[in-house]
Amino acid sequence: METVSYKCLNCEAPLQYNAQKLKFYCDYCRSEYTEAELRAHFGNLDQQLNQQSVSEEVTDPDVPEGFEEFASNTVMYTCQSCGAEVITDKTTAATFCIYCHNPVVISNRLTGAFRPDRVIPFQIAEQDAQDRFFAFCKTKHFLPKTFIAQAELDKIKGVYYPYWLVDSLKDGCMYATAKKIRTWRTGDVEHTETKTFRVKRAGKIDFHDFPHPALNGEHSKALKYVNPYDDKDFRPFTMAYLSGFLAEKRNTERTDVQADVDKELKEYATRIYRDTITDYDTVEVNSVELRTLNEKWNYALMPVWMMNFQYEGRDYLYAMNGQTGKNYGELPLAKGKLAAFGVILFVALFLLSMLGGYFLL
Amino acid sequence: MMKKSILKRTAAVCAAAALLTFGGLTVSAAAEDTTAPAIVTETADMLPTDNTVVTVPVTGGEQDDYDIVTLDTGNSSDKQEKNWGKIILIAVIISIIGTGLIVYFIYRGYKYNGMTEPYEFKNKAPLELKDREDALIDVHVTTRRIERNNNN
Repeated sequence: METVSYKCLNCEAPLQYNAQKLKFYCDYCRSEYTEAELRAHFGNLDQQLNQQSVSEEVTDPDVPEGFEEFASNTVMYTCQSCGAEVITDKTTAATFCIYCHNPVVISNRLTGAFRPDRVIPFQIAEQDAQDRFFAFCKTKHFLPKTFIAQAELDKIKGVYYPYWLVDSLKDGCMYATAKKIRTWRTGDVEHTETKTFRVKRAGKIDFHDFPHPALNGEHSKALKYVNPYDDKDFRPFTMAYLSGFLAEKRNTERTDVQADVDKELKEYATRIYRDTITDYDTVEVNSVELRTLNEKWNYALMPVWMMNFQYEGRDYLYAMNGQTGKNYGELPLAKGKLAAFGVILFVALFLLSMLGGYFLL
Repeated sequence: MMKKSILKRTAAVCAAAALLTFGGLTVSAAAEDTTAPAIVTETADMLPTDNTVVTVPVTGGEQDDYDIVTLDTGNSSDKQEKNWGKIILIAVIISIIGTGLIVYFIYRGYKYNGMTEPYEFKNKAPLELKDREDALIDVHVTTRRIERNNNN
């Protein structure tokens, strides 16, 4: 299997992308390189690899009985640094050698149809991500104490996840029933006038970069809600950005997610049309018709800091946007703390209600 | 981030204040209900000015029989016991509802932390409106007679 390992031009040590410096950095001799410098040295390595035929990964043909499923979901590569044979799963596109910790990009997972169009490099370094997470945890008073321990935070890992970015030009219209209600009094009589309108809004909506996770699995919800990303940091894809991080390749085709994307875009279109209906007291949407005039799908890798941890035998996943720092995930709740808080709150509310009742009597 | 946190806390304080005000008023209103004097209003003109003791005909009793009734001055120990029972009951209900709501929102905050709008459609999906129609299709007026409260 083709693997790429970017080496320092000065000392040949592994080179990693540094999110703090926004440059490629050698941890051994502290050399720093820009993307242009690397490209000048390595040539356009991505294009060379892309032009090569993309051979599907071949696993060991002599698979022992009972290991077929394991073999079909894993592949083996040889580390270019230490020569060890390392097993990884089918969607991993960048990883580390588990023996020498050398960063490795599995190049034929990111070529041909699987080559991303764009990438947002990590803007938040690991230490920064940990600091932000600590600061965030301090605002959460019902977290278990063990959660904030350093040992748990060591499990943060930077991963480039695959997304579909959809540019879609839609033409459509929405029909709604809206009401204006006016009330006035004459003497002892109250009059209520209800005016009913049939409302129509028609026009084109140009959706730009609508993101949809391109990786099916347990993380898809977290991948949805770490959005939005800021467009300003999009770069043309180059494998060098993956060096020093983990990366996943997409496991969905456009046809697999088209229906989901259409459904979500329709919901957004309804909200966009609805926002133009103002000056009414009530609005009831009757129908929305939408047709696609033009659509373009891009494939991009986005940075996410992922944290898996266990608490009381349960697995939790927490994700942080590697560009903006937005959080999403489920946090463990210290039930004892919450129960104590509930009791104190109950007593306080009870006493205040009693006081209120006594003084307002 | 900071602004969101401040907004959340302000909203929580406002909700708590509203709940307490509502609680106090509810308890007060319930207490007032139970303190309403059990005297028929027609006898009000027979009351002495000191509002302490009065003799009134008992409804359904013998025509010539009279009972001595202590007018409600808010000092009766019997009435006080009755009021406190209701006040405590309502305070408990309000406390259970208030605590339940606040604990539920805390739980939700931990369970679905960060579940916000994933797509900035206001910036990334411009609308070019071609047709805008607001047609009046129906008007109707309803009337309601407002009942006057003669007691006040």
